[in-house]
Amino acid sequence: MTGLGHAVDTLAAWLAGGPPGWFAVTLAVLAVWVAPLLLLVFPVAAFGQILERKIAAAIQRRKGPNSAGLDGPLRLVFRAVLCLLPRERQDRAFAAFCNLVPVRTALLWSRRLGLGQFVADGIKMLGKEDIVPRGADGAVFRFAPYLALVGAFLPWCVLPFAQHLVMLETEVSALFVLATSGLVVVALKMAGWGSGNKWSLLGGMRAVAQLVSYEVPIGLAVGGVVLWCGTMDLHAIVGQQYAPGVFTLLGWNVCQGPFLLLLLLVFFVAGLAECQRSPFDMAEAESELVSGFNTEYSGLRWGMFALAEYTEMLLIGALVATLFLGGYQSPIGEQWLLLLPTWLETLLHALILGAKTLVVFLLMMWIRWTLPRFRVDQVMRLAWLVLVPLALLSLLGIAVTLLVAGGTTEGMAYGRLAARPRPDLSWLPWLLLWIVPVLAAVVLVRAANARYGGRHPALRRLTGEGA
Amino acid sequence: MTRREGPGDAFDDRIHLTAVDEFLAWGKEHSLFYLLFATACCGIELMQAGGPRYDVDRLGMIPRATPRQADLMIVAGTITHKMASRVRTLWEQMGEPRWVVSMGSCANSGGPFSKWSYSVLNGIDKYVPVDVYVPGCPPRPEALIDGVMALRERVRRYRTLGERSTEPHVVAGHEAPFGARCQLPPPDAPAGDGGRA
Amino acid sequence: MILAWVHDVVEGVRSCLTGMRTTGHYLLENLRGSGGATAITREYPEQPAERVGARQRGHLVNDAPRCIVCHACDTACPVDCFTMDGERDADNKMRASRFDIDLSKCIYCGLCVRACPTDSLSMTPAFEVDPRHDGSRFLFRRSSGQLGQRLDAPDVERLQRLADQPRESLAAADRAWLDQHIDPNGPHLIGMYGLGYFTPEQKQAADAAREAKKRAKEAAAAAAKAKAAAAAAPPPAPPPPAGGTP
Repeated sequence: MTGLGHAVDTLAAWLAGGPPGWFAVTLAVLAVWVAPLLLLVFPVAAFGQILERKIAAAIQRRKGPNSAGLDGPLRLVFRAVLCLLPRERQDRAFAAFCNLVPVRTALLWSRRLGLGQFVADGIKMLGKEDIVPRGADGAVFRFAPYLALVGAFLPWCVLPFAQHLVMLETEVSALFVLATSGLVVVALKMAGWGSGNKWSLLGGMRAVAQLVSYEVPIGLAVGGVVLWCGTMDLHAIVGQQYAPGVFTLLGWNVCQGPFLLLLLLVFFVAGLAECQRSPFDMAEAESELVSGFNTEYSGLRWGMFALAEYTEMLLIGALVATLFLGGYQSPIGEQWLLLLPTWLETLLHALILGAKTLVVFLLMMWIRWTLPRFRVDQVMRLAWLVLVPLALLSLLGIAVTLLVAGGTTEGMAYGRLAARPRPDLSWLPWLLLWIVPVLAAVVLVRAANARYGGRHPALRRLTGEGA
Repeated sequence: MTRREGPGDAFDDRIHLTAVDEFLAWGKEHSLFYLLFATACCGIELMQAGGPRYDVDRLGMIPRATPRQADLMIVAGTITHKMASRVRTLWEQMGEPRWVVSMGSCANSGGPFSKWSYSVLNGIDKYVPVDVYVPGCPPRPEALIDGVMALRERVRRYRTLGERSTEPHVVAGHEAPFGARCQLPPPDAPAGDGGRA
Repeated sequence: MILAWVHDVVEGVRSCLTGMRTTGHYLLENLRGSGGATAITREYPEQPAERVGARQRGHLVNDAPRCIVCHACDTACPVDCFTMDGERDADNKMRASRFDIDLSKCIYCGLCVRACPTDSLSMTPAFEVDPRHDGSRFLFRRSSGQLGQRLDAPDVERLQRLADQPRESLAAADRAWLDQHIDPNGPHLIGMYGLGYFTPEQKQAADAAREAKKRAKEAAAAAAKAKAAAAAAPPPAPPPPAGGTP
């Protein structure tokens, strides 16, 4: 079974009771692809928001949201179930239910963890007035949040969640990811332009400048992985990272030499910028532009932008995991998973991918609440003068490694067939692959240190060191 | 909880809310995003309330820089006649439902400037409808949180779907010493549309 | 040039990592719940308010029985937040029959407390406004347009009475009167804070007691005079000394 195409076909045929027409196919696609995706990613992204607030609080020695529990939604459910009773009896029944010890404990914990916070935020936004400014380009203004959401959701279609769980199998899924996530640029520009507001326009311009610049290192980083694996299919890239035995970890792309490690860093930093996250959030810099491109958005439309941002963060996390950290493969051997029934294996694979995504997600939050915002010129400088040269260097290194090492067909059994066999790295080339670049880097860094000292010149001036 | 009841509270408690309205009000009550807006020393206390020690994020309140995304305007500090029209504009730009807390003596009544100053507005409630006044000069963060808790009780009674009970706010007396130069709205001006289409 | 670039990149990465080490330390200690970086949040409505010190200026209160209505506080006050009236009590001493502090005007400067000769004015450390403070009257729902209005004791009584009733059940005249004196928008936290109001009955009683006392004193004086006169009459009194009478 490849992907869910089979399931779509079956469902469409069943719905139509014969050869399916366009309506049945649309319904089947909605049911099999879109709905589960939305149901999976929406709550996780919304939950990411509360997670972020809690982590920010922990970093800043605060408590974070702890007043909104799940008692509000629960009361609504109670009232709906007991809708025939008079209100006083509903209240009494609800109070009695909440005072049961396990319920009470659970509700108190939900409050302490702030679990109801995103529910409250969501329904608050739902009830908030939807304002379209007078000078706005109405259609563009209204359409932008949807486009941002589409741009953030589309790449999930080609992500391999498990060996048998890919929504859309294509040979060029890496390209698909790059292309569809580029929609967000258009959305932000539309939001900035359509608002009819100077701050929004400036924010939109900044967003475009930043996103377009950082597409380059991201593209180069993905290109490096594609070069190494010899395929543009994300699922095949995951397959390429398979290594037999217990130490599957050694097969992951991060462990394939210092150049891929470097590419991981480049991809992560550029991905951070792609999500408009601090320290790269100059598109909505509160201290300079009021709120950047979303200044004029209120209520649910703004909520969509926020949701798109978190979805994109999750996407970057999943992409880092897929491209560099072995995708859905477990770090402690793969064979035992293959012995399990298919559904369990799929579930475990998806959970492993989720765990890896979560790690990257947490790292992004950690960075956000640590580093201050960059200046515009610093952001551009980082992209063009640091990340792009580093990515190009890695690309060159990978190409040279491939030339030197050649390849065998080892590791082909697991993944899908790839265009080019994976390079054979017996111990001598392996050693050379790691040692030579690392030595070169060490020499360079030491030379730089010797030349420019251990501390920044400004810092040295400040402390009077070496005067 | 240290909330006390005042005259008139009993009346509001008798209002019957539908279950959905109750749920919506629950959401609004726990997610009061406030506008980043402060003009004087009360602003320092407002920042303290947002800091780690008093942490209003605990109550679901996050600062928003743009009035479109804010539910609550905390008028923290002295409002001059010239500033008043800007405050009014900001309030008009906020989306409904919106609430206003007047923080400190300056915003309540002009405070230390109420007697002799030619430039200070005596009470922000002449230009925006105030829901809760917090006395103090400046109030401590706890006093602000106390006011927010009072506001939350008010939010709890807000009805999205049902008929509203609060009567439209009448903008009280108009005191503009420089007339047209200050560009203040006339005393009985209806609320502007805040740039809505 | 390449060395400078390498140095730049390495420095950048290193400083990022330094910052992340600090915040990571906070994060971990906070999640673990022990160590020097745990949350310092004071959860105010659940936990009692923090008292900064004994001299914290929470609210201004007047201990009316000690007040002599000397207007020293009124003179010292930079914002005119006092309204006061005095009456003679049964002992013919000045007492506050009305003492209002407008908390929305008060700037908590403490000048009145220093000026007070009898120490009846003081600042409470607690900031929480308690409308049921013993003997005090607290008016909710005042807007700044209504702050200058003078409210006498009967007005206060009427306000309290009307505001406790459902708005719908009020007569039109009452409602208009209410709107004129309080803000129809809802419960607010500020208001007038009065101590020592005399009701008309109390005032009458005090006046009657004072009068009675005065009359009794006069009667006693007259009686003493008469007695002295009676004592002096039978024997002819010697002429008083030149030093004068007491």
